[in-house]
Amino acid sequence: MKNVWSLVRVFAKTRLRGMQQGGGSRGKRLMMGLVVGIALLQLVFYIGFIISMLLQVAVPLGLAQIPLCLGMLVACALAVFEGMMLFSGEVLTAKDAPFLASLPVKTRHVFLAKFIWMMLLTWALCLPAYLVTVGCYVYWAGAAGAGLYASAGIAFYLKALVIALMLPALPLAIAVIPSLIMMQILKLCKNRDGVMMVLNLVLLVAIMAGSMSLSGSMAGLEEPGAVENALNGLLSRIVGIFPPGAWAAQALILPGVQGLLWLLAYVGISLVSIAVVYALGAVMYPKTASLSAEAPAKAARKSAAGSGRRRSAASAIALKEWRVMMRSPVYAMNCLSGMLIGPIILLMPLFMNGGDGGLDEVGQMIGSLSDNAIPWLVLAGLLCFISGIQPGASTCLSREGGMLWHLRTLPLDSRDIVRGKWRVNQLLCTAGTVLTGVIAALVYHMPAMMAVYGITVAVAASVPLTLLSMLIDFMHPKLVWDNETEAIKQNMNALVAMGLGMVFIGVLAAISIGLYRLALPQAALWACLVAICALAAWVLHGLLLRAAKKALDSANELG
Amino acid sequence: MMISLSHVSKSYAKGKKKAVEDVTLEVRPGEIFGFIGPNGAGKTTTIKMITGILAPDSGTVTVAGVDIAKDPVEAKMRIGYVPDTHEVYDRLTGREYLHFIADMYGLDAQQRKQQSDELLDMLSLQHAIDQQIRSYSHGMKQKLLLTGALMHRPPLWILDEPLTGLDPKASHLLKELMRKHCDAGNTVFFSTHVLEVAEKLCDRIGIIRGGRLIAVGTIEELTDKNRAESLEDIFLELTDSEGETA
Repeated sequence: MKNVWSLVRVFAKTRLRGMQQGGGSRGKRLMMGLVVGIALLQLVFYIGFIISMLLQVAVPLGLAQIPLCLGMLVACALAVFEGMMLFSGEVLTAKDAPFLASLPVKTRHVFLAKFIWMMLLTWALCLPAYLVTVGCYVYWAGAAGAGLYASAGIAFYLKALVIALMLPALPLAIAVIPSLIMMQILKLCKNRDGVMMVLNLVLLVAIMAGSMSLSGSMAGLEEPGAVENALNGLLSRIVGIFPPGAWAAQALILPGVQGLLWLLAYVGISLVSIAVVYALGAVMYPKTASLSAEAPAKAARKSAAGSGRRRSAASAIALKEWRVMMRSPVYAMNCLSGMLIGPIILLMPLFMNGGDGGLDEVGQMIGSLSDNAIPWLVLAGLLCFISGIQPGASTCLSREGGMLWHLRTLPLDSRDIVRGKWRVNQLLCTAGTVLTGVIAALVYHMPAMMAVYGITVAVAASVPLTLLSMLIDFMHPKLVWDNETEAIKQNMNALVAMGLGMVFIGVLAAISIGLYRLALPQAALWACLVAICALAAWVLHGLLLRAAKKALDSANELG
Repeated sequence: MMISLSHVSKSYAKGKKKAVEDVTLEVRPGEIFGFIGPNGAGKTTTIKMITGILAPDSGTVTVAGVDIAKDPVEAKMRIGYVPDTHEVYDRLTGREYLHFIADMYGLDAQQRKQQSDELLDMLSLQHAIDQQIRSYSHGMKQKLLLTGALMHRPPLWILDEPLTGLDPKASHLLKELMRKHCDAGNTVFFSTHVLEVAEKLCDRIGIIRGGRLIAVGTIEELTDKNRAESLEDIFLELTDSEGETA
């Protein structure tokens, strides 16, 4: 077991130093830390807000355990998502697998060390969500006579502490066990990358369906007794999805032996899950760890590049970028996420809750505003919001990693590199915008001209958004990473780019409102917005070229 | 001159660590120049400055008469570079990678096919050319990088530890290619830790230690000057443990 803790310490040191060294100067690191802190605070605030709203309704009805269950579910869901991401990076594609395999340490101990490290990282994310849930409960339930201010006393906090310590165990097991099993199946597949992408897509759809199902259980609140029914409906769904969440809530709320028994049940299931993960990992990890290093069984087709037709430098860069992106499941899923989220969100209500999800009413409202610019402005705004999520563009240089040397030795102008990367990212963004816009227009029965206005403005806005995302990454690329997950998902540039993108969209929205109030004809309003986007694109293009020249032509150190 | 370094310096960590200090060096056309030194001496940093990966803090680097800082694209057209690490786009197949490189150097369809096939046949890599690079062994990646670097027939080859990972046949072939290349009036600049190879192959040797170029000349010049019998003796004498960089 001494080896296990040595390994955990090494993992912690290397990852934390990697984050430090990849962060650039002290000022930049502080700024990144601030951005991450703000993002976390936003998440915590959002969860706290929802839980508080529900508690204010639930506590007078004596149903305070329901928001508590929901908070537990959210915290555990965050842990599951992070667990899946961590498994991919720390186990599946980890570059240290061969090195660790060469050490005189049992592979099951290596796996246990990785699992403990993943638990620590997961705990760091899900704990704030849990704490804010418990804090809100203490405040609202305490105000109504429960929690610290009533009979629960110090036992409540001790139970809360125990639950906090065990919090990531079960969710992480839920993330890791299927992943381990999936990896064994993938070993048998010829086209592993393709299968992984399909599985990731299925997971994405399942997550969205799950969240829509939960929110659907809160429908119909205007009828008498609806609130209580809705809350009970929510509870039954949560219990169905994640029963231990309800056990933890019961452990906190119920006093005396009853609460203790629920706590024991929760702790017991958490410890059992760790044991199961350890047992499975001991058998499967040695086979899984070599997966990334093994060549796929599928024999490669003769490349389409066999024609040897000469391409321009920018086209060659674009083709290379596209191939590398699409052949990596991690990159592909993240880069395509913007394209997929919009259509999934729009189409899901058609298949959920036994109806059209209220789409007919929205369609009727749009029909009544056919002479007004508001519907297509709203459509453009929503599409811009989706365009602002560009993990591909905001990590386009970071994903080169150690291979940046290659670009630097080639007879390439930095402008060609920018053009090549921009083509691919803009293509993805435009495709996603147009696809989502067309689906939205069909689903909401928008008149054709309205849809054209909205989609074209959104496409025009996607150009500066893509350039802005790329600019962030060219100014501060994260070139030091150990696996693809780290390059794209654990890259602050994606977060910063999204934040700045939202600022741009906000400014554009404010300008739109101002122009709308001038009562311009719709065509004139459309032309003004497109012109503003073109101007923004021109400015950002100039800044990007300058940043690219600095990053590629005259940089002093790699990463 | 094929390579000309004039008072080139490079430091890291805001000047705290001097990797290369005031190096002046000229490499002529038609010669194989061996660049040797202990670990951490500054060999790879020097090579990276010649190839344009890093910019020097001071001094000028000229390749085939072109200042790499003023016209990097033109300078890089004249270089074929193989690094000591084998980081390459491993999601591409070997063929896709070679076509990508050929596009960069402006080779037309006939040129790229002819020149890549020739090298792939010589290095026995044809059988794996349509597989993704991530399935390649260390030596196969080295061969692929060599093919990519030499395909456009650059006058200057810069090879950082080129023989590492190559099987004996490929290693022998590469040495022959290097000799033929220089006999045709071109230049090879390579670094190696295998002193026997450097001694047999190189026309001139440069020894770097602690970021400084401490000796340059033919084997005969160096052995006469240092009263040594072999390159290994010269190397050990000039790079004693006190002067070794960590």
